[in-house]
Amino acid sequence: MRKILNYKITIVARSPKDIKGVCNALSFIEKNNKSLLKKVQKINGVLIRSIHSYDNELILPEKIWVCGTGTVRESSVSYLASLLIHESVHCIKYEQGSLNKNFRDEPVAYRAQIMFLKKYGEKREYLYVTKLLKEKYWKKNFISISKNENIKSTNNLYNYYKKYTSFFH
Amino acid sequence: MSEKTGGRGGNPTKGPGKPPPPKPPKSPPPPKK
Repeated sequence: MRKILNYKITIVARSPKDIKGVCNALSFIEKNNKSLLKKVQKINGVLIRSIHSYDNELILPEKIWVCGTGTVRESSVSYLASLLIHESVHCIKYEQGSLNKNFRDEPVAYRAQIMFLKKYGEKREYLYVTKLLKEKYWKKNFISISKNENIKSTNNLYNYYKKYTSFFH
Repeated sequence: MSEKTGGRGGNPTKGPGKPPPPKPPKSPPPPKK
Protein backbone atom coordinates (compact mmCIF):
# COMPACT_ATOMS: atom_id res chain seq x y z
CA MET A 1 0.00 0.00 0.00
CA ARG A 2 1.13 3.57 -0.65
CA LYS A 3 0.43 6.58 1.47
CA ILE A 4 0.71 10.28 0.82
CA LEU A 5 -0.33 13.40 2.67
CA ASN A 6 -2.07 15.91 0.45
CA TYR A 7 -3.73 19.09 1.74
CA LYS A 8 -3.39 17.57 5.27
CA ILE A 9 -5.46 14.56 4.18
CA THR A 10 -3.86 11.09 4.29
CA ILE A 11 -4.56 9.13 1.12
CA VAL A 12 -3.86 5.39 1.11
CA ALA A 13 -4.21 3.07 -1.90
CA ARG A 14 -2.40 0.28 -3.67
CA SER A 15 -2.25 2.09 -6.98
CA PRO A 16 -0.56 5.50 -7.45
CA LYS A 17 -3.19 6.19 -10.13
CA ASP A 18 -5.94 6.08 -7.49
CA ILE A 19 -3.99 8.34 -5.13
CA LYS A 20 -3.52 10.78 -7.99
CA GLY A 21 -7.27 10.72 -8.67
CA VAL A 22 -8.03 11.92 -5.14
CA CYS A 23 -5.18 14.48 -5.27
CA ASN A 24 -6.62 15.88 -8.50
CA ALA A 25 -10.04 16.19 -6.88
CA LEU A 26 -8.53 18.08 -3.92
CA SER A 27 -6.61 20.40 -6.26
CA PHE A 28 -9.84 21.00 -8.16
CA ILE A 29 -11.59 22.09 -4.94
CA GLU A 30 -8.66 24.32 -3.96
CA LYS A 31 -8.53 25.93 -7.39
CA ASN A 32 -12.25 26.72 -7.37
CA ASN A 33 -13.11 27.43 -3.77
CA LYS A 34 -10.52 27.62 -0.99
CA SER A 35 -13.11 27.90 1.79
CA LEU A 36 -14.65 24.61 0.69
CA LEU A 37 -11.22 23.00 0.85
CA LYS A 38 -11.06 23.93 4.53
CA LYS A 39 -14.31 22.06 5.09
CA VAL A 40 -13.06 19.05 3.14
CA GLN A 41 -10.00 19.02 5.39
CA LYS A 42 -12.33 17.83 8.14
CA ILE A 43 -11.84 14.45 6.47
CA ASN A 44 -8.71 12.95 7.98
CA GLY A 45 -8.08 10.32 5.36
CA VAL A 46 -9.19 8.50 2.24
CA LEU A 47 -8.64 4.76 1.94
CA ILE A 48 -9.18 3.20 -1.47
CA ARG A 49 -9.92 -0.51 -1.50
CA SER A 50 -8.26 -2.55 -4.20
CA ILE A 51 -11.55 -3.83 -5.56
CA HIS A 52 -13.84 -2.47 -8.20
CA SER A 53 -16.72 -1.23 -6.09
CA TYR A 54 -18.90 1.79 -5.59
CA ASP A 55 -19.60 0.92 -1.96
CA ASN A 56 -18.27 3.55 0.39
CA GLU A 57 -18.62 4.73 3.95
CA LEU A 58 -17.28 7.37 6.26
CA ILE A 59 -15.67 5.73 9.30
CA LEU A 60 -16.44 7.74 12.42
CA PRO A 61 -15.14 9.13 14.71
CA GLU A 62 -11.89 8.70 12.76
CA LYS A 63 -13.28 10.57 9.73
CA ILE A 64 -11.72 8.22 7.21
CA TRP A 65 -13.62 7.78 3.96
CA VAL A 66 -13.31 4.23 2.61
CA CYS A 67 -14.24 3.74 -1.03
CA GLY A 68 -13.51 1.46 -3.98
CA THR A 69 -11.65 1.82 -7.25
CA GLY A 70 -14.94 1.94 -9.18
CA THR A 71 -15.74 5.30 -7.61
CA VAL A 72 -12.25 6.78 -7.96
CA ARG A 73 -11.52 5.61 -11.51
CA GLU A 74 -14.92 6.20 -13.07
CA SER A 75 -15.69 9.57 -11.52
CA SER A 76 -14.74 12.79 -13.26
CA VAL A 77 -12.50 15.11 -11.24
CA SER A 78 -15.51 17.30 -10.42
CA TYR A 79 -17.71 14.35 -9.39
CA LEU A 80 -15.04 12.88 -7.09
CA ALA A 81 -14.52 16.36 -5.63
CA SER A 82 -18.28 16.60 -5.00
CA LEU A 83 -18.22 13.29 -3.11
CA LEU A 84 -15.52 14.71 -0.83
CA ILE A 85 -17.75 17.75 -0.26
CA HIS A 86 -20.62 15.36 0.61
CA GLU A 87 -18.50 13.47 3.15
CA SER A 88 -17.13 16.67 4.68
CA VAL A 89 -20.72 17.65 5.56
CA HIS A 90 -21.06 14.37 7.48
CA CYS A 91 -17.81 15.14 9.33
CA ILE A 92 -19.09 18.59 10.29
CA LYS A 93 -22.47 17.21 11.35
CA TYR A 94 -20.74 14.54 13.43
CA GLU A 95 -18.66 17.22 15.16
CA GLN A 96 -21.92 18.98 15.95
CA GLY A 97 -23.15 15.82 17.65
CA SER A 98 -25.29 14.32 14.90
CA LEU A 99 -25.28 10.54 14.40
CA ASN A 100 -27.17 10.66 11.08
CA LYS A 101 -30.16 9.01 12.77
CA ASN A 102 -32.87 8.18 10.24
CA PHE A 103 -30.46 9.53 7.60
CA ARG A 104 -31.34 13.05 8.72
CA ASP A 105 -27.99 14.45 7.52
CA GLU A 106 -28.27 13.07 4.00
CA PRO A 107 -30.38 15.89 2.46
CA VAL A 108 -27.91 18.56 3.62
CA ALA A 109 -24.94 16.50 2.38
CA TYR A 110 -26.64 15.98 -1.00
CA ARG A 111 -27.52 19.68 -1.26
CA ALA A 112 -23.92 20.71 -0.62
CA GLN A 113 -22.81 18.24 -3.29
CA ILE A 114 -25.42 19.57 -5.73
CA MET A 115 -24.44 23.20 -5.11
CA PHE A 116 -20.83 22.31 -5.81
CA LEU A 117 -21.68 20.47 -9.03
CA LYS A 118 -23.97 23.26 -10.18
CA LYS A 119 -21.10 25.73 -9.87
CA TYR A 120 -18.10 23.66 -10.88
CA GLY A 121 -19.28 20.34 -12.31
CA GLU A 122 -20.93 19.11 -15.47
CA LYS A 123 -24.64 19.62 -15.97
CA ARG A 124 -25.35 15.89 -16.23
CA GLU A 125 -23.61 15.33 -12.86
CA TYR A 126 -25.63 18.08 -11.23
CA LEU A 127 -28.88 16.66 -12.65
CA TYR A 128 -27.92 13.13 -11.59
CA VAL A 129 -27.34 14.01 -7.92
CA THR A 130 -30.43 16.26 -7.92
CA LYS A 131 -32.44 13.22 -9.05
CA LEU A 132 -30.89 11.06 -6.30
CA LEU A 133 -31.86 13.64 -3.68
CA LYS A 134 -35.39 13.89 -5.04
CA GLU A 135 -35.90 10.12 -4.86
CA LYS A 136 -34.15 9.91 -1.45
CA TYR A 137 -31.57 7.54 -2.89
CA TRP A 138 -30.08 6.73 0.54
CA LYS A 139 -33.37 5.27 1.75
CA LYS A 140 -34.01 3.44 -1.49
CA ASN A 141 -30.50 2.03 -1.46
CA PHE A 142 -30.77 1.06 2.19
CA ILE A 143 -34.15 -0.60 1.89
CA SER A 144 -33.53 -2.32 -1.45
CA ILE A 145 -30.75 -4.46 -0.01
CA SER A 146 -31.36 -6.68 3.00
CA LYS A 147 -30.37 -5.73 6.53
CA ASN A 148 -27.79 -8.53 6.48
CA GLU A 149 -26.22 -7.13 3.32
CA ASN A 150 -26.06 -3.69 4.87
CA ILE A 151 -24.33 -5.07 7.95
CA LYS A 152 -21.98 -7.05 5.71
CA SER A 153 -21.13 -3.97 3.65
CA THR A 154 -20.49 -1.81 6.72
CA ASN A 155 -18.38 -4.52 8.33
CA ASN A 156 -16.39 -5.11 5.12
CA LEU A 157 -15.53 -1.42 4.87
CA TYR A 158 -14.75 -1.15 8.56
CA ASN A 159 -12.62 -4.31 8.58
CA TYR A 160 -10.69 -3.00 5.59
CA TYR A 161 -10.03 0.21 7.48
CA LYS A 162 -8.93 -1.76 10.56
CA LYS A 163 -6.43 -3.63 8.39
CA TYR A 164 -4.76 -0.38 7.33
CA THR A 165 -5.47 1.74 10.39
CA SER A 166 -1.71 2.17 11.12
CA PHE A 167 -1.40 4.19 7.89
CA PHE A 168 -3.53 6.90 9.43
CA HIS A 169 -1.50 7.48 12.59
CA MET B 1 -22.92 -3.77 12.60
CA SER B 2 -19.65 -2.26 13.71
CA GLU B 3 -19.71 0.06 16.66
CA LYS B 4 -17.84 2.69 14.67
CA THR B 5 -20.26 3.18 11.82
CA GLY B 6 -23.90 2.25 11.58
CA GLY B 7 -23.89 0.73 15.04
CA ARG B 8 -22.95 3.95 16.80
CA GLY B 9 -26.63 4.69 17.10
CA GLY B 10 -27.14 6.27 13.72
CA ASN B 11 -27.18 5.22 10.11
CA PRO B 12 -24.16 4.55 7.90
CA THR B 13 -23.07 7.47 5.76
CA LYS B 14 -22.83 6.03 2.27
CA GLY B 15 -22.43 8.64 -0.46
CA PRO B 16 -23.58 8.16 -4.06
CA GLY B 17 -20.33 6.39 -4.99
CA LYS B 18 -21.49 5.36 -8.44
CA PRO B 19 -20.94 8.29 -10.80
CA PRO B 20 -23.41 9.11 -13.57
CA PRO B 21 -22.81 7.25 -16.81
CA PRO B 22 -20.40 9.00 -19.16
CA LYS B 23 -21.66 11.08 -22.05
CA PRO B 24 -22.40 8.94 -25.10
CA PRO B 25 -19.79 9.47 -27.81
CA LYS B 26 -20.86 11.80 -30.60
CA SER B 27 -21.81 9.92 -33.72
CA PRO B 28 -19.59 10.81 -36.67
CA PRO B 29 -21.15 13.11 -39.30
CA PRO B 30 -22.55 11.33 -42.34
CA PRO B 31 -20.05 11.04 -45.18
CA LYS B 32 -20.26 13.79 -47.78
CA LYS B 33 -21.61 12.73 -51.12
